[in-house]
Amino acid sequence: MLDSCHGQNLLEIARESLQANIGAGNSKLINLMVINAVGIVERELASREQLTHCSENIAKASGNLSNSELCSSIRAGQFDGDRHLYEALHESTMLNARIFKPPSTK
Amino acid sequence: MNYPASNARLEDWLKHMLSAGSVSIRETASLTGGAIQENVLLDCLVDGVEMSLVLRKDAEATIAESRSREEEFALVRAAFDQGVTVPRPLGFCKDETVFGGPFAVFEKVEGIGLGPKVVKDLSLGGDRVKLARELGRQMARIHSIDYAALNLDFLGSPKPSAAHFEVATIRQSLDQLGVNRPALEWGLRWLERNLPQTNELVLAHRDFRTGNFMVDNDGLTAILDWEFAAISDPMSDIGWFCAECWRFSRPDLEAGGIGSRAYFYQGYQEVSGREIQPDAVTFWEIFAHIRWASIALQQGMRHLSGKQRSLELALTGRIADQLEFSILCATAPTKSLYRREVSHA
Repeated sequence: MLDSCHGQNLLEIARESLQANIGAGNSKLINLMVINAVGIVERELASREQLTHCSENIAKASGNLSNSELCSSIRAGQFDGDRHLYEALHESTMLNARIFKPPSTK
Repeated sequence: MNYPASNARLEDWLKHMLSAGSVSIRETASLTGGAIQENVLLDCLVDGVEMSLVLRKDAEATIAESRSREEEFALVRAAFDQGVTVPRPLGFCKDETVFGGPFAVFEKVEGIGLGPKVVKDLSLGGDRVKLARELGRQMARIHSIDYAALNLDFLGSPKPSAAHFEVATIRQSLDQLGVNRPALEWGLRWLERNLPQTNELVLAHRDFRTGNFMVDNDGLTAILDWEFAAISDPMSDIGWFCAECWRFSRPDLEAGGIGSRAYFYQGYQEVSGREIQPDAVTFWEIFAHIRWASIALQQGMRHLSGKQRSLELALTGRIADQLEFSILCATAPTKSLYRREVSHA
């Protein structure tokens, strides 16, 4: 099950929001949100190879468990203190965080 | 939002509630803020005198943790009676025919609440040292509410401890959402292995953070958004307020992007007399990131489910990605809460 808005879904709601606000006087907030959404999708597309690499690393570190199996196993304590899984998750979450919001260049 | 075609029933209800001879609603407008509830400004003439009220009702889709408007109203009233700076609670209406659903009405309070603006715009909030102290005092007043003596039976009590209960509740929320997020599970498991060794319980606001209070040019004007209030560990509110995810553009100002922890803690201790427990606060700060990620995913799901299509909700769901990275950074296998050097000065 999809648990957050990725590429296509995000673009779809961004387009709907723009359409609904055509001609609206106060559309600055909508425009900023659309710019944000498009930027996320742009970075998501540019990072496809890295995202695949991260998924492979998590699969390797977890012994090829499915995502739901991995969650259950972590919850059951089977990966307590596991450096390999930690590093794979750390790398993956860092990439996703940068897709959501790139580090400031200021 | 769908407003009733006529305000006549609402005017009648307000007239009765305010014990007024006449009430005329001159204008209604949706207020910004309140991602989970809808806030409507009512500009009224009450017995010929101008009065601005805020009506608060459920949004079209809400999230599991959110209290009913009736419960929230009772909590704000308890806080008001305790001297907490909240909008004066005026009345609650169960009758759905009056305004399309249960709602509560409060006096309007002037001020700005938007978190990033409050943090960035130093012309707001008055002296920031005083504001940080005052926020500490306000939190302490909330924690001093004698909830057992009030008729707030809906609050319940977290068992076996607040921390254990909160971790279990987040897991339950993630399960109900049907999401599988290994990074959140990692963080929750880390918390489970580092539960604080305390179990003092107070009435906690549970969303006391920058963005949920209003300030004018001189200082604090209101503590808002009581929909998550519950019995919990007093350190949980402190951790939520100080968590990095609520500091906006000033991560260096550890008390909500407003000031240093020291001033906030001073204000809190001055009123509560309670010692701050740094390890417990750190636990609750990590928990704050996980809970906010869980809420963000629920917000995203309100959009994905089709119940409330919204770009804002869709983007909120994606905040979980950023929060997960912070959680992983704080929960490395080499880190144990009770060996960490944490700066709480």
